[in-house]
Amino acid sequence: MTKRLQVGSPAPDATVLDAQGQPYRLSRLWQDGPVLLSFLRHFG
Amino acid sequence: MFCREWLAQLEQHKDEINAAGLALAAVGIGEPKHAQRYCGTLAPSVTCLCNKTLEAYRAFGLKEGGLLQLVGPQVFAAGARAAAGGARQGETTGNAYMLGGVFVVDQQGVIRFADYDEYAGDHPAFADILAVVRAWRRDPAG
Repeated sequence: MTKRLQVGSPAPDATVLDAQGQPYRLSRLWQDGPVLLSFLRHFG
Repeated sequence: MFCREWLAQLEQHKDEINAAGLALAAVGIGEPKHAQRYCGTLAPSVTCLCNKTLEAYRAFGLKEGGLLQLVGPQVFAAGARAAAGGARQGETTGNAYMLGGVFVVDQQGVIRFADYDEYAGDHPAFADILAVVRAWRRDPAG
């Protein structure tokens, strides 16, 4: 069962792909400062 | 259509969001070429990433929607809003059942704002996001 994350909880550091197809750890997004991270339903 | 609408809104509000100290990133379901196309045309200020395996979606607690969440009355209303704003439906990639979400993550990797779509096209208001960020900036321990 997938559980919703709460404010104050750690953000998961999952690995995705960048636009060049290279592995990209999400923690790179916030290592230099806060980020507004959106998960889209799909590209379409 | 809703993803296009949201990305366009991110681009439109980028100065306000950046002024609040936030970088912009989006994860979509699809191939790197799709992320490239989206970033290039719709939101060049947004770091676009892709996750076809849905691992990151599951890790953030995102779920697939049911019938009402995908084609219910609220979705039609959101579709009318998006169309009125100029968004159009493109080729659907990945998983059209997955619902989205928006998060603010601080430099320590802590979630400061979390909003889960209740239905397709359900986006949070930028004013709400920025209000949370400003409150957190004033009182980081709060």
